[in-house]
Amino acid sequence: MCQYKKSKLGSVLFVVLILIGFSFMFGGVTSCVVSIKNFVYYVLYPNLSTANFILHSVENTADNIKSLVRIHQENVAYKQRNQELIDKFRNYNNISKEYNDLVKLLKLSKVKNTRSVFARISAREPSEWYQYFILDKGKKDGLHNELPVLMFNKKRNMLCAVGRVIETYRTSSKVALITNSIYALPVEIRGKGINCLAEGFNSSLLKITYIPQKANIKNGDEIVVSDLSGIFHKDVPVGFIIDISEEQFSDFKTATAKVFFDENVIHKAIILVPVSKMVENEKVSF
Amino acid sequence: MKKLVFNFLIYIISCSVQFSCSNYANIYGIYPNFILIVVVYLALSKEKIIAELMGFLFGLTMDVFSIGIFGLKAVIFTIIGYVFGRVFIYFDKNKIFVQFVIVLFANVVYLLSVGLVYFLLSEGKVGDLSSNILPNCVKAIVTAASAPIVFYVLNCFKWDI
Repeated sequence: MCQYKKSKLGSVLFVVLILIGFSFMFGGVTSCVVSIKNFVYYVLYPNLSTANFILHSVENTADNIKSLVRIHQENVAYKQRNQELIDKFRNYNNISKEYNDLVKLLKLSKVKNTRSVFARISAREPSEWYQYFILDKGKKDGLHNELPVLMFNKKRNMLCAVGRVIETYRTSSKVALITNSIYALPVEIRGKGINCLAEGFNSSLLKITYIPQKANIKNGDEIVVSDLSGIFHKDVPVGFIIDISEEQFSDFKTATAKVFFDENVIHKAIILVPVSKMVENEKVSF
Repeated sequence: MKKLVFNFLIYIISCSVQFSCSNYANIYGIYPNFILIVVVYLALSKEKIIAELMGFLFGLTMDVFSIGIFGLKAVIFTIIGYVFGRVFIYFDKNKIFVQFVIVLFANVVYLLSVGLVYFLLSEGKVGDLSSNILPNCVKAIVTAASAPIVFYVLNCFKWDI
C-alpha cells in the first residue's frame, strides 16, 4: 500500500515537474533568465576577478616565502654590518676628537676633510675633447669654482686627477681638464721627489717640464700631484711618462706623459668638496 | 536528514565538477556529462522521487549555466530520472557492463531529445543536428566509460542512509 502511494506520488510529481519544465520552455522565460544571468555576472565580476587574483597569489606563495627567508637573512647580515659600522664610527669619533685636540695643542695645520660628490658628464664637445666637459651637478649640490675633479680608473683601480671646476651654475658646472692648454699642474715623479710641472696641450698627453737635467727618470714612471698644488691633494695620480727628451744645453729636460683618466671612457666624475666646519660638527654629533 | 545531506552534497559536488572542471580538464572539448551519470545512478538506486527531483534541479542548473532554451534540460533530466527509475529498476547497478550500457542509453536519449527539440524549433533544418553527430557520439561513449568510476565513487560516498 505504501509502495503504491509512493509510486503515485512519484507520478504526480513527475507530471508537475514536466509541466513546470514545459512552462519554462514555452513561457518565453529564456530571455528573462539570460538577462538575470548577465546581471548576476556583471555584479559578481569584481569578486571573480578578486578570486582570480587570490588564486594567482597562492601560486607565488612558495616564491614569496623564499624571498622572505632570503630577505630575513640579508637583514640579519645588514644588522651585523650596521653594528660593526656603528662601532667603527664611535672609534672614528674618538680618534677625530683626539686628533682635533692634538692639532690645537701642537698648533698644526689641519688636513682638509672632503666629501665626494658624484656627477655624470652631461656634455663633452668633440672639438674640446681634452679641454672641457660639463657636469650635471652645480651650486645646488655644493659645488663651486676651483674644486678638484677626479675619476675612477677601473684598469688600475684608483682615483686619478681629471681637472678642476672653472664655472659653476645652479645645476651644472664646467670642468677644465688637466690636458687643457690653459692648465699647468705642479706634479712630482712618484718615489723620486722630483718636482716638475705638467702642462696640457689639448691632447691625451701632458708635457712634463722643469725636470732637472740630472734627474733619474725613465719611461713608465708615475706622475702624481705634488704638495705645491692648491687644488688637488698630494699624491693624486696624474699619468705616466712615455717619452723623455733631453736638450744638451739646457738645465732641464722635458718628458711626455699619458694621463690616467684617458684609459677608460669617462661617464662619471668625483668632485672633492671640502666639508665646512658646521657640517663636520653635525657629522660628529650624529 | 542524512538523505538530504547526501543529496545536497552530491548536487554541489556534481555541479562543481561539471561546470568548473570542464573548462580545464576537457580533451578537444569533450568532457563527460557527470550530471547525467549521477541522475542515472539515483534512478537506479530505487529512489524515483529523488531521481526526478534531482534530475529537475540538475537540469535547471544546466539550463542556467548554458545557452539555449531554458527548461529543456530540466524536462529531459526529469524524464530520464523517472523513466530509468521505473524501467531499469531490476538491473544490477553494481555491474560495470550494466552501468556502461544504461548510461550510454541515457546519453543517447538525452542527445536525441535535445537534437529533436532544436530540430523542431529550427523548422526542420537538419544541418546543425547532422554536423554534431560525431562529437556527440564520442561524448556519449566517454560519458558511458566514466560511469563505472562515478558509480564506484558514489557507492563509496554513500554511507548508511
